[in-house]
Amino acid sequence: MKIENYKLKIITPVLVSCLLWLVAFSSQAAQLHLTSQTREIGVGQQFQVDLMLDAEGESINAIEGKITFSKELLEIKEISDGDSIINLWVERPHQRQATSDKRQATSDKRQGEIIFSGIIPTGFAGVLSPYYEGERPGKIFSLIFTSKSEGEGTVNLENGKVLLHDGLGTPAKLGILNFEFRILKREVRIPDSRFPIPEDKDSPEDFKPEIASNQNVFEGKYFLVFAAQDKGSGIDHYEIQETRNKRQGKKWIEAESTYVLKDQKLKSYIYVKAVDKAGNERIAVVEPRYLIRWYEFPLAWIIIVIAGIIAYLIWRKLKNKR
Amino acid sequence: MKKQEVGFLFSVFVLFLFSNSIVFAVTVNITATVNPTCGNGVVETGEQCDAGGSNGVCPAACSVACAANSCGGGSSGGGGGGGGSVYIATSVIFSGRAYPKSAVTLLKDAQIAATAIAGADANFQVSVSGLLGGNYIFSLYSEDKKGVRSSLLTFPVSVTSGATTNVSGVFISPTIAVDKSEVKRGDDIAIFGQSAPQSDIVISVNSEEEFFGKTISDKDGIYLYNFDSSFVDYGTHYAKSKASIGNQAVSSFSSVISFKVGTKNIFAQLPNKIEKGDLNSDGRVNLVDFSIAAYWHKRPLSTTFKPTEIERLNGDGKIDLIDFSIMAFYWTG
Repeated sequence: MKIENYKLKIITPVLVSCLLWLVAFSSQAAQLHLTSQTREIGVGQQFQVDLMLDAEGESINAIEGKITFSKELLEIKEISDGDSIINLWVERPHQRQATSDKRQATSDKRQGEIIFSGIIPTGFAGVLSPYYEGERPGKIFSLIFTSKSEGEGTVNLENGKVLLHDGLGTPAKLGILNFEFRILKREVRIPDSRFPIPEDKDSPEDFKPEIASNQNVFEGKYFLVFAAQDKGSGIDHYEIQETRNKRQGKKWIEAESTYVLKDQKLKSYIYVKAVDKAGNERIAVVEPRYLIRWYEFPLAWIIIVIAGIIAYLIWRKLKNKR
Repeated sequence: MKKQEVGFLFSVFVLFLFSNSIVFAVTVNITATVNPTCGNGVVETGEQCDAGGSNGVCPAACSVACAANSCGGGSSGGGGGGGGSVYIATSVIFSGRAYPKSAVTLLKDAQIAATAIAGADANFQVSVSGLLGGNYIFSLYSEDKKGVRSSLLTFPVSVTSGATTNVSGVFISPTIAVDKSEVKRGDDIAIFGQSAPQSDIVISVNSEEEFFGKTISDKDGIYLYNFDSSFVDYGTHYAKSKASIGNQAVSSFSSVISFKVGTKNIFAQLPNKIEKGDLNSDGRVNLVDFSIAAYWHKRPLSTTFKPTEIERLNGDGKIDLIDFSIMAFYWTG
């Protein structure tokens, strides 16, 4: 009996501590890191800060947040979402627009804000590669700053939220690592610096726009959805052309997915051009769903009228001869 | 009593270890195939560049597959005498097991990129080419004989420009269905689905206690397990299954299916209809549904859309990140 108690005294704490260790190990929080190649920058130098997601064994499918920085120290030059793990942006990372609210406007002058939210359909647990073992963090997007004046500061992530890929949208435990920096008067050599950013020579990838309609949006009108990916500089914008001619015209209009079609009869060819930040283009074509009848071509009517006039003139000539 | 405590602690400990092993047991092999002369520092046929030991990821100008990194500054490589541009294909090949003669769908960055039909032995190979170097999120799913979809297997892969990346040993999880949505306590409920032929199938029924059952799939990959409902209490219970072949290949768990233990038998329909996240009721969750949800993001919902939001999303009367997360979970592409 005594031996049993002795065993129990040893086994129970060992098991409990093992359990606690395993619980602690398995419930690590997902991490959002703001990282850069350097913490010291010279005044007027450009540097890049990447927002990275380390899933830490969880599967994550949605993310949102706000990045803030001092406008007195930094100026945002570019927001790059090329090679992002986010496939669909609910709000593409962008600078918050200045408001008419006076107090807010004063704050806007001092503090820059980048707002973003997006999803990774099918979830993200880390990037795999043939060249390393295990999973590595994935990039959400990059910010390219120019330093303005001497000083110290941080680029902060605020209101960060990541949701688990569990079908319920459960918030994951989240650890945040902000980026602290120091701006010096002298120029600093930034290790592995990619500035100036090399040219992106690749076009966005092939994509397939889709026509849809639903009574809950756009009064049931047909609309077009599309999403192109660009692993280099990232998608800059889209342009659209609707034409009843098969031949592509010259008039493009800038548009976003979702785009309400002008031709609700779906008899037009729709050209969608994805343009990346380096100006490379990829064009996708959507064939008309319904055939255009011959009498719907203006050219057909012009030919008929001309043919009619010619026939009339011939008839008159023949009549005069007689 | 104390012996029971030790037993309980030990069983929890073992279960905990087991549940972790489930997560880590599901592995795939990732390899990359590149030109064998790549890396010798000499630009040869089929190479855009070759910086020898300096080949690598950005900021290196030349990739490990001897293709110019699209980020990489400073063109290296020999000044092109005469030959025109060199085309080096960048592709990814997935191979593994699904179900006999089933359709396997490959999603690339959330959109359908390719489909393939598995052989009678359930082996499949599906590939996508024309890629650039960078991070891609690939997902695979299959559909069984009865049109029931498997859960998605996701592979975020860093693709090297100019190389063929092989992801092998993929084992798509079994499909799962039950013959009754409600079973009279004491009666059997049939849990069935499809996997690779002659696989060991483990069925887990989760209630207050977790029950494990074992069966073997037949030559067509079909499995059936009759679960005695008298083991569990009245109420809702959840079942899932996973497959293994000779302790080498282990699938992840299937999606979870629920059933109720009650006072009567109600026969169930096959779970081949997607409802959550499917806002236009076309049986798919894709960019169209995302666009419909995005339309209502930060807008008051219309009276006609409110019932859809309640039925297909989280039902809180607004569209926010949680709704998009639900949609992402049920994504089909």
